[in-house]
Amino acid sequence: MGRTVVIVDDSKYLVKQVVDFFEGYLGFTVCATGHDGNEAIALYRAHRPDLITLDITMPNKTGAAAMKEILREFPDAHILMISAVRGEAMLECMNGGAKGYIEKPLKFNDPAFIDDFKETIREIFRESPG
Amino acid sequence: MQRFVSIRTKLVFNTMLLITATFVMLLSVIIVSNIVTVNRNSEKSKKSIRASLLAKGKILAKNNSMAMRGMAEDNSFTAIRDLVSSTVADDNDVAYGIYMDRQFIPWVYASLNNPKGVPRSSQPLDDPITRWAGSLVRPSFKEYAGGESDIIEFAAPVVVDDEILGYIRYGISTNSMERSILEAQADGRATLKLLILIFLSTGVFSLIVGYTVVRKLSARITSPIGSLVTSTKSIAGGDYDIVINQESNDEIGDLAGHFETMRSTVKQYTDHLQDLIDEKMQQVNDILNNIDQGLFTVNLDGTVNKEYSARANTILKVSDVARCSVRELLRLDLKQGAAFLLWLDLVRKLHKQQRWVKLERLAPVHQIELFTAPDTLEKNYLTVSYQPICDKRGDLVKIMVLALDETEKRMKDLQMADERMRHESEVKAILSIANTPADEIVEFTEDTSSRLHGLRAEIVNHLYCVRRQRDTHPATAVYAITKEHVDRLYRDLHTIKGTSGSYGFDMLSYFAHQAEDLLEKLREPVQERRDNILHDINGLLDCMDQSINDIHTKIRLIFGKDEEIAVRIPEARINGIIELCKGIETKADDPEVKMLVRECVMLSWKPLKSLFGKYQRLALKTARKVKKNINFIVNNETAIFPHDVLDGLDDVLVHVIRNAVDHGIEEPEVREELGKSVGRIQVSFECRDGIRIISVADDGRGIDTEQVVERSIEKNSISRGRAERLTQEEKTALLFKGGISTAAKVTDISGRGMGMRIVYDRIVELKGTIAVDSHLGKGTTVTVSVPVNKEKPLS
Repeated sequence: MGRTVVIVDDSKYLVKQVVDFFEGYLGFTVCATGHDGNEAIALYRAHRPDLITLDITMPNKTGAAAMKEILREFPDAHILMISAVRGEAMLECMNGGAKGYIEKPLKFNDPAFIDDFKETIREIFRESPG
Repeated sequence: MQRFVSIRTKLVFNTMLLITATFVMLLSVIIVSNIVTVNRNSEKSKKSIRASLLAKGKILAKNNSMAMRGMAEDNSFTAIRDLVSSTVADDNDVAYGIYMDRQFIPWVYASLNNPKGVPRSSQPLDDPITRWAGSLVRPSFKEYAGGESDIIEFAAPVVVDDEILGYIRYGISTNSMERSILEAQADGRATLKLLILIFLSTGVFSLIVGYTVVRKLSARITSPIGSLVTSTKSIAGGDYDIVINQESNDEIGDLAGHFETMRSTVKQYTDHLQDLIDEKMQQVNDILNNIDQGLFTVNLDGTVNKEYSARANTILKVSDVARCSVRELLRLDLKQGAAFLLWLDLVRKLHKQQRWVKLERLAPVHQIELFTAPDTLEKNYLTVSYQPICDKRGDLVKIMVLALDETEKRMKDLQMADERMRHESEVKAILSIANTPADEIVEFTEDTSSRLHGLRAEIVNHLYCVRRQRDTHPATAVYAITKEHVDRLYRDLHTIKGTSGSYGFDMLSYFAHQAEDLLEKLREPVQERRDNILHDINGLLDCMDQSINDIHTKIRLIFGKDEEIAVRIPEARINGIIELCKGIETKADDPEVKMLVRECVMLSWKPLKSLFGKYQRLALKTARKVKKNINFIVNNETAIFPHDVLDGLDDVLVHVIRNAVDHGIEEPEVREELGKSVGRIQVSFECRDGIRIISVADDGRGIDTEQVVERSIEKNSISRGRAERLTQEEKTALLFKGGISTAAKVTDISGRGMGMRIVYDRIVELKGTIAVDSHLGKGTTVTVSVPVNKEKPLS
């Protein structure tokens, strides 16, 4: 039984790419996809996935705010930030409880990028058995 | 925490307790045994006194009864009275003596109060004891409670010839018996008191003696322990140089001996450790002194440790790294300083789970720019990297910070970038010249040269004026250039900047831009010396002259000599030639004539680049307005076509190109996020079999056909059921229905969804077709096919 993931990004094109990667390379089941922070919270509540990926800059509610709300409700949530935002905003997300981060642009044709992505997922799930 | 109680106190206290307990126990034993003995003794003497009283009474009663036989027979009152009263008087124990006849009438009743024994009345006695005595047939006794003490009455009948004549009765008091018992008891009590007194004084004496002795003794036992404790305390504090003396020859002495052995072993061990540490530190210092990087370490609370590499001070430009905070060393502002602490916290939590390379990337600073010296503008560029330092258990203890001076590398990079830019601009200039009609270019260079000439004259004049003013008024020289003058200079420079930019002469445009900036300074109140600025502008004019000369050289290289380039023919003359040619065309059969005619007709044709020039400007203008970067590319741009070949398609091109820029191309930050470079609008044109085919392609976000369908359903343009059966092309075609926009916001450029409707209507009018090919995330291509002659529809 593969792990489940919810993918949230305001760019539909990127969502599609990330979905393909999770399903094709990592063997995850994508339960749902969303495009803003509010959707992210609703989708997490509805599906309780093993992992949720969030962009930071999104309409209506930022990924950082969505992350906080999800963690308040589900302290064990596994959250992966995928964003072009660097530096302090990402640092704050990681300090706030995100389990890992991936920097955009998503270079899915770069083997080094794919290795980093896979390793990040491994790190996220290493601490909690099962 | 237990309260400290010294061994000595414990010893003294417990010994005192023991002595007191022993004495209390002994005292209680003595008291109890004394009481038991006294009681037993008084009981014994009571019994013996009673026995002697009984014997005396019995003998008295028996003897009297025998002696009175004769006296009673003779009725000798007096003799009886004498006998009885003398018996009572002689013996203190006898309380009374009575002789009564058979009718219980007393003849004698002698007592201590009535020694003579004359009865008070001659009435018979009547009381229980008398009745008991009167019933006796032989001597007997009976005890009863008298007034002050118990009385034992001894009675016997006086019998003569078996006939009872009377009764003799003696009452003996137990008074003397009780008195002797009380005396014995009083004696016992006195003895007890004496005993207790002796015992208590002995107890107190023992306590005093015991206390003194035990105190002395315990002092002798505990004093070595005390000094041992003091010594071990110093050792526990880390001072291994204190020698422990073996003061006594008992267990404590033994213990002190063991402690001393232990101390010397530990001392040897720590000395060895210290040697090892010194050695390691020396090695570390050697490394720190030889390393070519600025290296220092930061604790997890953000404090800087005192070890750092010898080069660190130089690289980080501080006097002593150890005396600086991280914020000072890494030039962190307040926010970054806070972020750095956050980061330390994060790496402490996550360094075991995540790769260091990922954690390191989150550090607030990776590059630092420092001024080389306090009063220069030259900068040093440092690259900062971080490494974790863990203890044996793998816990993070500090962070090693490495600062590498990359100024030289950076300078080289900058130089290379500069060179590349020059090179690129050179190539760009050449391409631009090659792709621009020679006359246009020549016109540009002539115009620019004359403007530069004028600018030069003005600047030289101003410089002359400044110098003159300074010579005449050395102290108060203030030379202001009027606004009109500056404006005129500005206009010329701006034109040069704009036109040279549009032809791709970047260097020229760049110099003009710099000169513009300097002009701005001339407008400001006098801050700097005017002639400095003017000289600088003059220098830039030199550069611009050089650039325009370069351009000129290139033009000659490309187009040949001047006289071969500029061919300017008034349009009227060309039109005249064309008209003439058209006249000949119908008559001529000679292929060479036909060819000539054709060439002549084509004199007025223009390359696609210039035909699409208007749309290129439109696209760039639109892009500027919505803050996007685009490249507008015309395929096969040198191919020539009649100047009116795009007639009738203006509306269509305007809308399609605007749409591509406004909707198609993403915002720069989105493109960066997606890893896309500068946006590209690519147009191509061809004319085949009398049909004009124009395509406008962008590499933007593509049309979300599902969203188009959704919007159409919302607008009731189509039912949901029908929408589900649509093909991809049909879905895209919904765009032309009008009122559908997928733009998130309506801008003044587009977004109302009417653009595509206008395009569609226009194409229908022109009897043409339109096709949209779009891929989400990749881009959209709109292809319009329209017949040259609108009367002839497309098949």
